[in-house]
Amino acid sequence: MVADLQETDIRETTPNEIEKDNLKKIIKQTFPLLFISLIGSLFAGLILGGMEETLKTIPGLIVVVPAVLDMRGNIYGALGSRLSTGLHQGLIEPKLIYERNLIVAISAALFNGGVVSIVLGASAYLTLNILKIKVISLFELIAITFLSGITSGLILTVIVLISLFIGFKKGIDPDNLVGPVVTVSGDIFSILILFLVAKLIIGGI
Amino acid sequence: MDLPELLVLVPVIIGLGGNLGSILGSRITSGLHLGYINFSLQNKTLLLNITAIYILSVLIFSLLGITGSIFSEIFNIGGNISLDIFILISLISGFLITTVMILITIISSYITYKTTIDPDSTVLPIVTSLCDLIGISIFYYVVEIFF
Repeated sequence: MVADLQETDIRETTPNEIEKDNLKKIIKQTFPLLFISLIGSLFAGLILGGMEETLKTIPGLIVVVPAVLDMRGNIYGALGSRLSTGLHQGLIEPKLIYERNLIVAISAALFNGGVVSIVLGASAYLTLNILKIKVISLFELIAITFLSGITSGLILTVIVLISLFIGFKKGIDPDNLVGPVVTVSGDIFSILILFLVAKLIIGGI
Repeated sequence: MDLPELLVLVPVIIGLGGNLGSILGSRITSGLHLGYINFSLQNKTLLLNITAIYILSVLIFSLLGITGSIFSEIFNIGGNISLDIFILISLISGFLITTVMILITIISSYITYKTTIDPDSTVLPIVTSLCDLIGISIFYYVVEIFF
């Protein structure tokens, strides 16, 4: 009986069939998200284009834009990847409760985000000064990068957590979710928050 | 560049390379942790993932050509490039970016895995930042060929 079952199992799922099935599954799960991220990035590009005036009035700000966009993806992408491996291995439960693994992963990401933001502000100021390009004061630049880094970091952490947990419960592989979720929300929120904080600090609002 | 509609594509070209890279990187690192992926040409899961990424890349970069053309039309940006050229530029740069990205992802996961660094914390940052740099250069050269 048991042997029979095993044999039919083997016959029903030859390696080729597993491959076809999985290929379809991977594409089906990731394609809609990639498409959403495509539209998201197109909008991020348009936002950036629309804020040309602000960029001109705050010298030095445009230099940190690509770094800010990248950094968010890197830090919170790593967080998402870590969480998805944790979910796969059962080390992290898909619930918003106090859990050591979860807290450690989140605080490491936020700490990294804060430190890197300060380094970014300082190095951008230094580079622009060496290249003799007009820039706002060191304190203002660091305040902008640090405050926007922490604020958008908190927003992104919440988005990553909730989307991964909901996705995982609905049977979507978190590995396929991480990338698109982080890049779309990262692009849009980090640009938006950066400009809001910059306007707040420089006094445009 | 005096073709402003191509500037709309720039953030997307960078973003998509990084996206595809993080899907592949994330899948490879989880596979390494769980033990169903190893670095050999006979590893079916690895080959399957690479095939999936190529199919996704062709689909999404064709769509980028179409949506990019529509967006630049709607928002009245430029208007000198026809739809087929848009799709061609997007597809060619997409294919090249994907190929380089797959190589970077596999090499970086292999190195971090061999040196017992947790690939989860290293592969995605390496892949996404290199994809930005390489993506923008490849896009620039492909555009140069056309104009």
